[in-house]
Amino acid sequence: MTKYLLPTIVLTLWLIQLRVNADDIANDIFKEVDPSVVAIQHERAGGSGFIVSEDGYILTNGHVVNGGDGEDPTKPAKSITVILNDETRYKAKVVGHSLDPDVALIKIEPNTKLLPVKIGDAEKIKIGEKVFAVGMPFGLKRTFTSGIISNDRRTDLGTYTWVLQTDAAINPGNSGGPLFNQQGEVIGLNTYGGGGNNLGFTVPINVALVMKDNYLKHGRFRRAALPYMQMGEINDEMKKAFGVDGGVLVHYVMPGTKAEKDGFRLGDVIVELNGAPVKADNHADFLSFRWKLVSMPVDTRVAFKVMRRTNDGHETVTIESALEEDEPMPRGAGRNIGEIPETRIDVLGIGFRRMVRIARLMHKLDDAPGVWVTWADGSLPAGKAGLRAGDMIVEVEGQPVTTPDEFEAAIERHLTAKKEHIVIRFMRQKEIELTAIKPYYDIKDKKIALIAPDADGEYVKMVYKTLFSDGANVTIATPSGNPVDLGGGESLNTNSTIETLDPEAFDAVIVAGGDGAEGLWENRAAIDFVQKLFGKKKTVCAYGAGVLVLANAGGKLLEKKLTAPEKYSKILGDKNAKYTGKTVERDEKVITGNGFDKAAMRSFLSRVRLSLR
Amino acid sequence: MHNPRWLIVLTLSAALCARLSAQEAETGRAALGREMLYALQDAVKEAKRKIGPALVHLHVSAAGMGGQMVQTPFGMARTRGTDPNMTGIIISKNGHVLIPMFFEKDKVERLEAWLGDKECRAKFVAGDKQLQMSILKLETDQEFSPIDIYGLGSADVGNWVVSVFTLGKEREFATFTTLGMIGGTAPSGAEVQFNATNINVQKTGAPVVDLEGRLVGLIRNNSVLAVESVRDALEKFVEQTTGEKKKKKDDDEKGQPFIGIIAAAINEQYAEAVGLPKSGIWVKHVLDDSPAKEAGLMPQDLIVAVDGKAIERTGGNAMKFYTSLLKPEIGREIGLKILRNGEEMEFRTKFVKRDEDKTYQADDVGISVKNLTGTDYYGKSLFTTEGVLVTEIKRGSPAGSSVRYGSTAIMQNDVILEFMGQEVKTVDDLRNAIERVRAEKPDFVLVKLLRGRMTEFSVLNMKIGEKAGDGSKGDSK
Repeated sequence: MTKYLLPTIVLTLWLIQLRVNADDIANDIFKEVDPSVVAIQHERAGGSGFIVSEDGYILTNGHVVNGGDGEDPTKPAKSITVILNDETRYKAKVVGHSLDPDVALIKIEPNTKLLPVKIGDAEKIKIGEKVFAVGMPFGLKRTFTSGIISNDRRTDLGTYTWVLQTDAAINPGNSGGPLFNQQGEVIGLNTYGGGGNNLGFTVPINVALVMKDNYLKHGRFRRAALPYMQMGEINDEMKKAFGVDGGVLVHYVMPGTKAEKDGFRLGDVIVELNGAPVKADNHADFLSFRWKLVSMPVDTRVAFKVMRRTNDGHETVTIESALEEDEPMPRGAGRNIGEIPETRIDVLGIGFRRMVRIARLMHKLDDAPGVWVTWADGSLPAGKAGLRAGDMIVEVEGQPVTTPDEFEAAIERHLTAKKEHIVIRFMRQKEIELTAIKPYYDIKDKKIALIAPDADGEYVKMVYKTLFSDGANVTIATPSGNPVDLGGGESLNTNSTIETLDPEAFDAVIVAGGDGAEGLWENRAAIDFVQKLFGKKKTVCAYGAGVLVLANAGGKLLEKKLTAPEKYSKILGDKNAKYTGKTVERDEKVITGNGFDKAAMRSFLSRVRLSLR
Repeated sequence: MHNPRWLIVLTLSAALCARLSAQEAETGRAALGREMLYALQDAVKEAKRKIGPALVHLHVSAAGMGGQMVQTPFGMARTRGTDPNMTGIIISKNGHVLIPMFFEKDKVERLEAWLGDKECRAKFVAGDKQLQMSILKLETDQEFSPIDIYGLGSADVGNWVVSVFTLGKEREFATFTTLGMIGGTAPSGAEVQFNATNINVQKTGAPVVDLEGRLVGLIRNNSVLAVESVRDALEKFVEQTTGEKKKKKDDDEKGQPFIGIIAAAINEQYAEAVGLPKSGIWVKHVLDDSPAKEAGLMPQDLIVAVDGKAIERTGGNAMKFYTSLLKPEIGREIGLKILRNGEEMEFRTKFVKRDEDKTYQADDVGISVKNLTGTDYYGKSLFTTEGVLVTEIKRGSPAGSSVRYGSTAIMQNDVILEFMGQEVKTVDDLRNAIERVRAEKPDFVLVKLLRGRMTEFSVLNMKIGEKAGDGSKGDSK
C-alpha cells in the first residue's frame, strides 16, 4: 500500500503545480502584453489596437479607423486619439487602412519608447490551442479574455482571406485588439464578434504584416493581380472529373484582358507558381494561394505552369506574366469591401463611381466604356428618369462619357446652360436605353454670394455645385479675389473680392466654414455685406467657422438662433448669441449649420434651398 | 262660365295622374333592381352549384402546425398555430384534392376528409414548397366532379366573386357562400394577391370563383392568391402529381404566335426631350428571321398605332393596351403605324407559328433545359447565342445539390456550354451527352456553364439523389 503513496503524492503535487502554472501563464501573459495594447477613439466610435514599433506604429482594424462615409469608404475618421495603458493620450494619423482585409496602420508620436508586441505565426496555430484576447469592449476598461482556437481557417464569411475563429469573448470595442498565443505572441487582430455566442473572428497576423508593409511603402494595399481571371480550388470530385492531381482551376478569363493576352485559357489548371507546386484541395488552400499571389510586389514577373486539356489528355504550358496592380474593389464584391469613392450630384439624386471589371460581372454589363450608377433616388430627377443603381451611363447628349469626372463635367455644362432635358444613353445589363433627366432648377436665377476663405475652406465646392445645379447664379467671393484653393492642387474660380460684392444684387449670402474661415471673422467687408443683406431681409447663411461672421455682425442677428461646431460654443456664448448646438438651425431667414460632415452639409443645403424657393 | 267646382275636380285629377305615373315609374325601377338582384342571386347559386360538389372538408394535423419557436426582436416566441380545419378542392376525376398549404410528406400526422357529411379515406400525395400547396387523394371508388384548374378566371378589379367554404363536424359540415367584389390586386413576389369584399381570408383553401364558376383565387395564408399568377407552376405541379395532362390544343394551333418584336413603352422623359409622342411603343429589337424583320421594322421605331387604333396611353398601360391590340394569333395580319426619324410609316405583318421551344428534361441529372431563342437572348441578357438554357433545377438531384451557400451545381438561367467533355450547342447535343453518361455511368460529370457573363466549371456528383437499387433512371418529354 505504502509503495503507491509516494507516487500518488508526487502526482497530486504535480497536478496542483500544473494548474497553478496554467493560471500563471495567463497572468504572466497579461502582465507582459498589457502595455502594448491601446484604446482608439474618434468622432464616430473606436476600438482597440496594439503597438508594433517603439516609435509609435500601431496596428488595428480598418473598420475601427474608417470614417464611415457612405460615399467614400476609403476615407479614415477625422480625429483619432490613441490612449496607452498608462492613460496618456496621443493624436494619431492613419498611414493606411482597408476594410477587407480588415487592417489599418496608424502612427502616434510618443514622448517615450513604447513596448511593441511579439509577433507569432497564424499559419502554425491549430484548433484547440489556448489563446487570449485583450481589448476595450464597450468603452475603456481593459478586458482580458481567454479561449481556444475554434477553427483555424474560416473561409465562409466572405472575407478576402481566411480568418481564425475563437471562443474567447470578443465584443464591440475589442475590434483591432490582439489575439495572443500561449507564448504571448500576437497571432491575429480580433475583428468580428459574430452574431452568436462565443464566435469571434481574427485576421491572421501574417496578413496584417503584409498590409503594414504596403501601407508604409505606398499608403495603401497594392493588390497585385493578373487581370482578369477567376480561379478556384480543385476538390476531390473535380480532380476526378478533370483527370488531374490537383492545383488551381481557372474558371473564367475575361476576353481582351492581360490574362488572356498572356495566354491563360479557361479550364487551365495551375500546378506550379515560380517552380513551387500549387495545390488547393479546399477553399482555405485556395485563399492562401490567392493571398500569396496578391501580396507579391506589383510588377513582379511570375511563371505559372498550367495543365491544359487536349483531345487526348493534357499538355503542359508555361505562362510568364508581370503582375499588375488590381483595380479597386467595389462594394458587394466581398464581406465589407469597398474601395471606390462615389461622386454625387445631390440635386439630381444621382451617385456614380468608376466602372471596374467586377462591377461589369455583377451587373451583366459588357465591355463598353461608361460610368457606373451606384445611387439613384426615385424622388429626384435621375431616379424619375428611370436610372437606378447598376446602370452604366455611356453618353450625355450624344457625347460619350467614360469616367466619373467626364460625366460630372458634362452634366455641369448642361446644368449651367439650364437645359430643360439632359438626354442620357445608358446600359442596363445588355440593353441600351435612352432617357432624359429633367432637372428641377428649384432656385432658378436666385443670386447667391458665397463668401469663402482663400484657402482651407471646407465644403466650398459642394455648396457651389449644389446651388448652381439647382439653378442658382452663385458668385464666389474671397478676400483676395484669387481662386479658392481647395487643397491637393485643386482650385475653384472666384468671381469677385468680398469688397466688390453689391448687396443690391443678391438674394442670399452664405459664409463658408473650415479652419481658413476663422480668417474671415474680423473681415469688415464680409461683416458689412452680411449686415446689409440681413437688413434687407434676405437669406443669410453660414456653416462651420463661418457662423462666427454672422455673430460678429451683431445687432438683431444675435437675436436669431444659431448653431456652429461645438468648439466655438464658448465664443458664441460670450457674444450672447443664441447657440443651440443642433446640426442645422433655421430661424426665419437665418440658416446655420455645424458643417460637421457631408450629411450635415446636405441637411444645411436643403434648408438653404427651401428658404430660397 | 267659370265653375270653381270643376276647377277643383280638374286640379285634383291632374294631381292624382301625376302621382300615379310617378308611382308607376318607381315601381318600374324597383322591378329592374329586383331583376338585377335576382340575376346576381341566380349567378351566385349557379357558381355555388358548380363548385359545391368539388369541395372537401379537411382536418389536417402535421408536425409544426401547433406553432413554431421563432426568433423575434424581443426574444423567442411561439407563432400562432395553424387551424387544422380547411377546405380542399377536387381537381381530378380520380379524387385528387388541392390544398393551398405546404406539408412535408412525413410530417403529416393525421388526415381526415369529409365529402359532405360522409367521411372518406384520404392519403397525402405531394407538397410543393414554392407554391405552398399540397395534393391529397381521396380513396373512394366514386367518380368525382373536379374544378377545372385549366380554365381560370382573371382577378380584375370590380369583378364579382363568390367564395365557398366548408365547416367541420361541430357545425354539421355546412357550406357557406359569400359574394364579394374584387377591390384591388397587388403583387407579392412573383405572385399576385387580391382582396375582395366579404371574403373571409381565414378560411384556408376556400376557392374564390367568378360568376361563371371559373376559379379565380384560393385562400392561402390569410390572403387570396390570384391563381392565374401561378398558373404555370400550378399546372406543372398538378400534372406531375396526378399524372393528368392538360388537354393539348389541336396540332395546328401548337406553337406560339410569333412576330419578332421586342418592345417597351417609350421613356416619357426621353420622348419629351426629343419631341416624340409620349404614348408610343419603342421597338428595342427586331429578331432575325421574323415577320417583323421581313416587313422592314427596325430597332428604335416608335409604334404609334396598331390596326389604325392609336396608342394613347403611357408607361405600363401603353404596353398593356398595345398587347391587347395585337391579339396574337397565328395567321393574324396586323397593320403597324410607326414613327421613324420623324416620318410616319405603315407596315403590314403577320403572326406566324413558331415551333414551341425545344425542351428536354433529365430527371436523373435534375435539369430541365430549352434551346436558346432570340427572346431569351435579349430578355435574359445572355452573353451567348449557343448552348442550352436551364429552366428548372430539381432539388436534391446532382444538379440541384448545393456547392456553396446560396448556389447549386447548376442554377436556373445558367447556360450549359459543355457536358462531360462534349460541346453543347442545342438540346439535342445535351441529350446525346446525357445518354452517354447513362451508358458509361461515371461518378462525376464535369459541366461548363455560363453564369451571367462568366464561365464556370461545375462537377455533378451523379451518386446524389440515387436511391439504393433504383434502376428507374430516365427522362421525360
